[in-house]
Parts: sequence; structure tokens; C-alpha cells
Amino acid sequence: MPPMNNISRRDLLRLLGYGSLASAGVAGFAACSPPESEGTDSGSGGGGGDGELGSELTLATWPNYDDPELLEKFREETGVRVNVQVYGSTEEMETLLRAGNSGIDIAVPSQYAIPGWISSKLIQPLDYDKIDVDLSGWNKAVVDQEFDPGNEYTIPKHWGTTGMIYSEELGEEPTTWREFFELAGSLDRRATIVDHQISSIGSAAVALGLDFNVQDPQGLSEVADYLIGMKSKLFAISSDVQPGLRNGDSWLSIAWTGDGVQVVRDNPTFKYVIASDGGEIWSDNWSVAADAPHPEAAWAFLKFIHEPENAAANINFTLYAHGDPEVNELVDKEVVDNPVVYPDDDTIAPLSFATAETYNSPDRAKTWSRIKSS
Amino acid sequence: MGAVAVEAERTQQQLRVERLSKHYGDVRAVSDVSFVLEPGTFFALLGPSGCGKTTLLKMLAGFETPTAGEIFLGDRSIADDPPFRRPLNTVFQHYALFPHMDVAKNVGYALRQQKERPARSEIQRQVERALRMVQLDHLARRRPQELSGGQQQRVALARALVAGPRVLLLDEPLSALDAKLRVDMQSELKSLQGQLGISFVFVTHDQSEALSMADRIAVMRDGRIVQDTTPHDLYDRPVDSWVAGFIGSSNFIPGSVSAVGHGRAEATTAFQRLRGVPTVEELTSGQSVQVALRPERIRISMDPQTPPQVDGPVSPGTVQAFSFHGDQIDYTVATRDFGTLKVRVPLTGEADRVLVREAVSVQIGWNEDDARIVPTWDADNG
Amino acid sequence: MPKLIPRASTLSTAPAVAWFVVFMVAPLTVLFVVSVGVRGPDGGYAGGFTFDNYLELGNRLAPIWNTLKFSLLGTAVTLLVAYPLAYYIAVKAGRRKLVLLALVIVPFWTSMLIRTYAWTFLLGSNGLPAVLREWGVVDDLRLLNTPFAIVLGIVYNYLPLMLLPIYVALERLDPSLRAASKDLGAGRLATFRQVTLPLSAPGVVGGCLLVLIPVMGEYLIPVLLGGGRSYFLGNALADLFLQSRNWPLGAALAGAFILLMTAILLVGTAVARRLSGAATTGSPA
Repeated sequence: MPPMNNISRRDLLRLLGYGSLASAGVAGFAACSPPESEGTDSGSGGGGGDGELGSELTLATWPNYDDPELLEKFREETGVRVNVQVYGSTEEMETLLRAGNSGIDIAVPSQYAIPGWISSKLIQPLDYDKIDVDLSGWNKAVVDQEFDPGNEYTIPKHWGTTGMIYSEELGEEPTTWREFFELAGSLDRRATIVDHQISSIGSAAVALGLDFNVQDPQGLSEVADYLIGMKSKLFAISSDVQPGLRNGDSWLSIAWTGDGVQVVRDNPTFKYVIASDGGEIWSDNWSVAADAPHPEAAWAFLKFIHEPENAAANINFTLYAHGDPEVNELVDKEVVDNPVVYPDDDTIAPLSFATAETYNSPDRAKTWSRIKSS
Repeated sequence: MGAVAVEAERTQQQLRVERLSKHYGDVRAVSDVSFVLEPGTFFALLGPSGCGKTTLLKMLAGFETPTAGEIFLGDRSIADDPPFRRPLNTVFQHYALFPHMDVAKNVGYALRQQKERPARSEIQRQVERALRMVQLDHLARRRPQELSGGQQQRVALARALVAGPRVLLLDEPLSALDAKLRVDMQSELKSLQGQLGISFVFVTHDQSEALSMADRIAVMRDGRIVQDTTPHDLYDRPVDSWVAGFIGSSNFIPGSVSAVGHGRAEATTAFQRLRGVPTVEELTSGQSVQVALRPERIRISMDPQTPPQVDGPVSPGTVQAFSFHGDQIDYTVATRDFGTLKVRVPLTGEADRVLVREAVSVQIGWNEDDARIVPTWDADNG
Repeated sequence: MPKLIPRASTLSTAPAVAWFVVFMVAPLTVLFVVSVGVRGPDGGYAGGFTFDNYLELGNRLAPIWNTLKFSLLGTAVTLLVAYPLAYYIAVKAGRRKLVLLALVIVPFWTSMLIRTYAWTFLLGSNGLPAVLREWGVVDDLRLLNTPFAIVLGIVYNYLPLMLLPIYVALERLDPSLRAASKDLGAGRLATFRQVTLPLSAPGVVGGCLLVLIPVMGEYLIPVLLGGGRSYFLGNALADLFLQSRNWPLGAALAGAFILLMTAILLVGTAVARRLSGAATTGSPA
């Protein structure tokens, strides 16, 4: 039986948050799950908060996204203590930012949320003079994208993909979403799809030859029929994909990079494959809240975290791909050479970013609840 | 049909208990109890709490399994029958009426459990009859908790009698009633038993209740029946000093047997030799005994110069305390010759005639026939 | 006489009233206001006044039926498991009573999330199915992410809520009532049917309500043990507020849900009151 630390903390957070939401009855009015504090409060020492940076900074991020040693180093250099709040989803961060007075200085949204955050003025333009980052040499696949042209508001923290993971037990080696879903529908409850409309509807759409960001009712209804038709053949609709795979209950699954890296690392009989017929590429991005209480500290932190040696250290900790080639030079060889973490340009060429419209589309949301409730 | 058939019929109704015992580990709750009840007997099981009387009743009802012994109803052994197959019914101490049923439903319960369940109208008829018997037919639709204690008592009685048990078992049924109601219920129970002609086995710790109702009383102590006889015999001839003290009240003067014969015994006491009637036959010389004097058998003379007219010992004394009970007065008298004695004087006329205050000098005495020589009961080797 | 100070009763009820307003009236008002609003283009709530959200609920009955089906089934099975156990503890256990009660309750000091998560390993193919395979009982038993696992999760997680009210009812039941029934000719079964069961019925109804209501709002069990393939109201609400960020529709569903549960609660308590018929009401003859 695998130890509990293999359960992705993101999913535990999600469960705790949703659980308390659902049982609260009047969901949504209380702030979402109480953020878990990962403060690097190491007591005495360090600079006082007398400088213009102040003494603290609040970072809204995801579990295991930031190396605590780096945060400690930042405190030693600047005297600013970083309060880390971890969330299970971009949606939860958004709920707090929209409510206002969240106290959040820096947030790390997935790319699809960014246009809405910009238009709702939840985040402010980046002060590139202060953060001293030049994006010109960065991987074109992740900078200057439609969700933030010219990266006026955000810088990719790291990026990843939504691929498929399967065990050798399967006896097949799917390479496209079409093959994945055909296999999923032919097995008796062995396939897992994630509980996230963007990734699961999108991948199924690709399998049907539709656009990953499909939004028209016709296309969505095709996807719905397709997934509903195979629902009884699925093992689970769950974002917590690792336990099923590790226990041998689930033989193939849609998976995000982080899950792929961990499962393959611990069990080499698994393979993480990026589909050749399309699918999702995603990025999580640094942004500064419009009502950030400590903007100067935020700029200082972004400057610090983009110094190549620091950025590389963080990548070695998180095992996600960075967009700056200079940083990647400094990242451990085995990480950079891991095709799960750093797929080559040809592999990611067919992939699409989920758009804000896909994120916000009421029709996609409705389609997803139709599939889940069928 | 002659006397033989009638006799056979009677035997069929006999309740026979043979050497019945119940042990809980080392505790002997009931030891080796035997008795035979002829039908129509009002039988009281009397004893202090913990004497085993309730355990004995539970074995009769079937709620406790005997460790040893037999129970016969007629010639059939019922010791192994579960409670619901025994033709005996119980009136529980706190009545145990079903709170979710009205009075009529409670009373009809036993009829509805019968294998050949009577028709609804028949049940109703029998319930009405049972309720009339206890004068509660007007309360048939009430819930038990809307009734007074006395009314609940009658419902419990009607419920236990409706199916016509051969023997009715009553577990301290009057203990929850107030004193006046209890006296009324005593005579009512007695007359009901007379009408029905079945045996009642009545468990009580109240000796006056047992004396006033029972045809026969079995006194229990430490799981055994120490005396099983009629009320007046029990009162006049207790088998030992414990029974003498438990039934009614007595003055005890300790001593040892110095002579026996001609229906009399003589005991040597700390004061003088006292003669009296022995309550058991097997007294032996030197045996430790008590001279028991019922307070109402001691005569008192309010004139310190004139002793009472008795053929036994007399002694002057001083009244130490008294209490007035309406129909009698209890005195505590410090006597010159016999220590302190309780004396009870029935009031047949005006109280003034015998009412005296403390420190008044009197004379007391008794007839030899009224003194009882009873074996001493010793808790350690009793 | 002029009232210079508020009456004592006003003062003493003030905290209760404040509590009621803050925790009941205000949230429900907010809920209602949002439920007649419109979803903003980026999600959330954007004011407005429409009953469309309530009409839309008609298209979303699946989670409601699914929830009702599973919660009724789960409650029934929980009752079947809890009653004999409660009966044993209350009537037969004697001195072990406290130990047994503690054994029932102590596991619930652990978070429900952790306890339910643990079941995914027990029911997964390396758990119970592997043991049964080894013993040669069944070859390929699939338990995790099945309706069975959901019902099991409900029974496991809600057992104490069912057990304790029944236990209390049975514990309070005067043992001499059962004795009286047997004395009057009723066997064990007849005694149970006519005395024990009716007199413990208020506990049964109470336990059923205590289980049914929270199970209807259950989120974790269908996710963890049902693999997200069964969709409860709780899951629908979570998705509406988080994935869809459609607060008005979520509020409407939550509102309908609250009404449904209130109705169940009212009916349930009315039944309980009738059943405890032992009550003091009754027609004077």
C-alpha cells in the first residue's frame, strides 16, 4: 500500500475545501477553504521590517510550488518574511481576490484565468524596472501569449502539459487522445479522467477531432454524448489520479505533468505520454494583486525569484519546466533531460492553452455537470 | 363425580416448588426452597431486601433460570418453560404498563398473544369484564401515564388477570402507593383473590401488609425460608429471635434455658429466672434464648402503689418517653427489675385515662402465657 | 407606568435573537438575493433579478434524484446495521456497555476525510479484493468506485449518528416492559414487534433524520469512494461554485436543497412526535 505522502496535496486541499463548502450549505459566502499556512516563520534573526520593503509578503500559490529554503534565503537577504497560502485551484484564489481585502500580494493563477483577472482589475501591470526580467530570450511557447500579450501583467512561473499516463499492464501504447478514449471505453473500469472540465472535455474534444477549446453547443453535445457513453466503463472521474494508478485499480489516466513525474519516478512501469493529436499545455504565472498591501516587497520577491540560480533551485524542487533557457542551463541535468518535464518543441507543437472563454464558458460548465450527473 | 375427582382437580392446580436454588457465582440468592400451594392460597413471601424473595418470584415467573430444583404446576414441570408459556402472570412492582397503549390495549395484551387469538369482540368483552372487576371500565381509552398510581395498579392487576392465570405473582405491588391507598388496596386485593379462587404469591418486605392479607406467610432470610406458616402462628410462635423481631415488635431479654417441661420453659437471665411459652419444641437446657415480650402483652398500672393483675413477674418503673398513635400509646419504661421495656397500651376509651407524662412512676408486669422463649438467632452461625 | 428599562425577557432573549439573525436570517437572505441574480461574464455574481435559475433547476434533477436514492438507501442500511448493535449495547452488553460505546465513537475523533480516504485503500484491488482472491473466494472483485462503496462509506461514517439516538431510546426503555410482555404470553419476536420497536421508534426516526440530512449534503463519499461517477447535490454545489463559478445557480440549488431538507425535517419530527405517542396528550374519557 503506498504511503499517504503520495496523495497529491493539491487534491487533499480540494477535498477539504469542497467538503467544508458543501456541508456549509450556504456555499460560497464563506471564503473558500481556509488557506493552509506554510509560513517560513523561523523566529528571530533576519532583518527587521524597517526598510521600504516592509517585513512581510503574502504569496497565494499551490502546494509544493515553492522551495522553503529559497523563501528563507529571501528573508535573510531582504528581511521580508513570505506568508505562503496554498490553494487547490485557481478558482479558489480568484474567489478571495474578487472578495477584496484578501491581503494577497502575489498570486499564481493558471493562464486561463488571467484575462478575467486583468479585465476585472484584480491584478496590476508588472513593474519590469523593479523586477529586472527580460523575457526576450524565453521559450516562445509560454511567453507573449494571447492571455497576456507582451506579458504586461504576468510572467510564467513554470509550465506543463496534460498528458496520458498508463501502466505496462495495459498491454497497449496509446499515443493519441483518440486511442486513449477508445481504450478507456473498451476496458472495464480501468481508466481515469480528471475532474476538471477544461482538461477532460478538451482532451475528449481532441479525440473527436474537435478543437481543445470547443465551445459551440453542437461540439459540446458531441463530447457529452461521447463521455456519457463511456462513463460506466470509467474507473473514476477524479483529479486525484495517483492512488488508483499506484494501487493497480486504474491502468490509464489523464494526468497533469506533476502527477506524471511523480508516478513515473516511483514506478518505472508507468509511462507519461503527450498526445500527438493535440491537447493541453498550461502555465502557472506570477502576478501581483491590484490591492497588494506590500507591492514593493512583491517586486523585490519577483526580482529575487527570477535570478537564474534561484529560479533553477526552485525548478529542482518543484520538477516543472521553466521558460527561461538561462535558468534551464542551471537546472539539474536529470530534470532538464526528463521528457515528462521538458518535452521537446515538436511534442508540444500541437498543444493548446485553455482560453479564458473556455474557463468561463457556461456551456462547458453545464456540459461537464451533465456528464458527471448522468 | 365424587371427592376423588375434586381432589384430582385440586392437585392439578397445585403449585409445587421443590428444593429450588439460584446461585450467582458464590452468592446464594435462593437456597433450597420448597413449598406447596393449594389453589386459592394467598401466600406472602416476606423478608428484608436482599433475602431472595424477588429472585424466587422471578424463577416462578420464568425470568430467572434456577440453578437447581423444580417447579411443578399440577404434575407438569414448568421450570424450563419460558415466561410466555407459563400460566402464571405477574403484577410488576412499578406496574410496567405499556406507555404506548391505552388502558384497554394494555389489558387485552395477553389475549392478543394467544395462539388461538379470540375475536376482536371477545377480546373487548373480556377486557371490559377485567376492567369492571377493578372498577376502571370508564378509563379504557386513557393512557397509563394519565392515571393515578392507584389506577395504574388496578390496570396492572386487570392486565395480569385477564387471561385467567392459575397463579398470580405480585412483586411488592403496593410499595409505590401512599399509606392510605395501600390499606384500601390491601382489602381489595384480598377480596379479589377470594372471588377468583386462584393463588396469589405476594412478595413484600412489609410485615403488616403480609399479616393483614396472607393466608400463609413464608419468611425468608439469606435465600432460605425460615418459617412458613399462618400469620397468627408466625406472630405467636416465631422460630427464632430474628423472626420475632421482624414480625411486629418485641422486647428481648437474653438468657439461657434452665428448665423445660409441661408447655413451659424457664430461662436464666441477667435479672432473674423468667418463665414463658417456648415457640419451638426442641429447646435444650443451656441453649441461648431470648425471652420475647410483645409490647402490647405487657400490662401497666398507672398507680405506682398497685401492680397490674398478672400471674407473672412485676416491677416498678419510670416512664422515659411516650408516643401517641391515636388508637394506642407506646411507652418506654425504665423498670427496676428488667431494664428498659417498650409497652403498648391500646386506647379503647378517652386517652386521658392512661396518658401520662415522662418521669411518672408506674408498675408493669406480664402473664407467663404472654412471654415467649425463642431461640437466639445469631447472624454468624444462623 | 412608563417603561424605563427593557423587560427582562427582552434582554435575556437578545443573544438568541442576534444569533438567529447573524447565522440564519442573514445568510439565507444573501442566499436568496444571489439566487435571483445573474452570473457575471467571468463567473461569480453580477446582480440582477430573475427566476431563471430556479427554472434551470428543472434541467438539473439528476443530482437530486441521485442524492435522494443514495441517501435513502444509505440511511436504511445504516439503520439495519445500527439497530441490532444499539440493541446489543443497550440491553445485552452489561458492564461492557461503555467500552463498546467508546469503540463506536472514538474513530470519529479522526477527520472524516482521512477515515474515508483509508477506505479507498481497503476497497482498492490491493485491499480486500486481494485478500479474497488469495483465499480463492472471488477472482476479480471490484469494490472501489461502486455504489456499494458509497453505501459502505455512508454506513461507516454515519453509524454513530444513527446508533446513539436508538441506543438512548433503548437504554431508557424500562426492562420490565419487555418482561411484562413475555409474562403476558408474547415471545421474543412478538415482544420486539409490539413493545421494543414501537417504544424505540422516536430514536429510530431521530437517527434516520440525523443521518439522512447530512448524507444528502455529502460531498466526500461520492468523490472518494464513488470515484466521482455518482453525483450528489453536494458535488453539484461544489462544481457550481468552483468549477462553473455560477453563484446564482448554485444559490438557487442550495436554496431548493434547504427547502427540501426543511420539509424532510418537518415531516420527520412530526412522525417522531406521533410515534413517541407515549406523550402526555390524549383524549380525556
